[in-house]
Amino acid sequence: MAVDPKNPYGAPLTSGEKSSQLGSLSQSARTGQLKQARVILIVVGVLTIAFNLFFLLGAEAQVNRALDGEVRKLQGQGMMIDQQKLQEIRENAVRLTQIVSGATVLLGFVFVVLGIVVYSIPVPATVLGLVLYVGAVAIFGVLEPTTLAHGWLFKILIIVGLFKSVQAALAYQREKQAAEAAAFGTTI
Amino acid sequence: MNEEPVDYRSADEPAEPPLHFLTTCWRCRKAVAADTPTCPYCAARLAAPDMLHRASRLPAAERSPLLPVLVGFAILLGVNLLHALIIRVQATMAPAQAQPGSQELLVHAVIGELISTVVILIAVLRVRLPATPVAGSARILAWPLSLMGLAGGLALNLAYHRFLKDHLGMIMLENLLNDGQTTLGWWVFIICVQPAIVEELFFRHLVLGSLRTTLGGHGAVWLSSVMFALAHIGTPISLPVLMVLGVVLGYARWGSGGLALPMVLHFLHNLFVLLLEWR
Repeated sequence: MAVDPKNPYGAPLTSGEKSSQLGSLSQSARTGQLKQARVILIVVGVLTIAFNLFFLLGAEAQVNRALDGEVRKLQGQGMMIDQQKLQEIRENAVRLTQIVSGATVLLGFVFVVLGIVVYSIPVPATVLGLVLYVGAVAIFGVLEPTTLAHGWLFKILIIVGLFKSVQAALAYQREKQAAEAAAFGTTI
Repeated sequence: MNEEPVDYRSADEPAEPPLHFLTTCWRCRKAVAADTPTCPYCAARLAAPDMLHRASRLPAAERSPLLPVLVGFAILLGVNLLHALIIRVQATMAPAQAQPGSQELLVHAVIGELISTVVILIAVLRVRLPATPVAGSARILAWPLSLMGLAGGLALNLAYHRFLKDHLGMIMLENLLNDGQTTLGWWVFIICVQPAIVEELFFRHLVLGSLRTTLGGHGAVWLSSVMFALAHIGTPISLPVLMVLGVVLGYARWGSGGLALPMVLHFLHNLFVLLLEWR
């Protein structure tokens, strides 16, 4: 059994010591929630980078596949296709897919960086992480509405986890400021 | 050398809890630590320690305004998402010859903006922000500097959208507005007046004000401009320039100490873009 170095003989604690232990318990609970925020942000970031790198590298093949299917369908209806116009549309679509995937890879890196710095700047990191995640879900929902339904339970869990992290970060910052103010007061 | 502070109180006297943890015992009405399971004076059973993390246990004055503001932002985003989806689904389902005209767009815009206005007004009425003093010299300089920032932002906006049109073949929504079904006056109200008042109330008053209490001035301006850009999900391709505009408006709010300057700048920006597209 682990022995508490401050109280090796297990003497009964005074109420002040109990209060201070509970205070540190609350601090460790908040640190745990910040750790959870770090894990969420880094996992979301890594997954975002991985998926979008895949899309970025295969943008041309995907656009060609989608456009060829559309062209076959139109030709089946007896429509004539202007090849020059089609080539222009193809090039624009590839460029747009690359821009969107590239921007999303960058967003993934932002999530990873926020996860790394969450202990040093807890409130900005968690608030920005939550805002960017919710915003990204909404933007991809506008661009492709079916993405809203994909993994909806995970999305809700991530949003709830990040919201709780913001709450923990705010409490952590408030307590830290109060502790610093108290320490400043005692030295003067 | 660090010396341990000496506690001169008697062993029986309960230790003074730190100020930020104080609550009142329901039985003896004495100040006790909020995370203590039993009152040290009268041994009354207090709340369980795991309830400690709930922000609702803090007095109203100590609660951060950031959380309700984030909830308001999520609701606003949800309304805008729904609005964008309805327009998209309508455009997809209608045959090519019967695409929605400016009248349908106007009806959607009025409904969407009405809901956003209600959400934002509720948030403005519910959230109380601490007052932030502004230096007099900054207030005078803010107007000319902000106008220069607006000119730069507009130039960037035009160059960015020109690039999108020329190199990616994108058609902008505003091209559809001037089809003779609606008048310019309606669009001035919907695109220029309403956002200049309501969006500024939310992003530059509530969001910026609540973020400033925890992030400081610069952090609050940048984060609020990210939120401002993300709220415009109906035009996702314009997010980068909207963020730049948000930064200009944020600093205008910070520098001037009031909402009049960002409201005027927002109105002028949107009016300029609308008139340019209306030609």
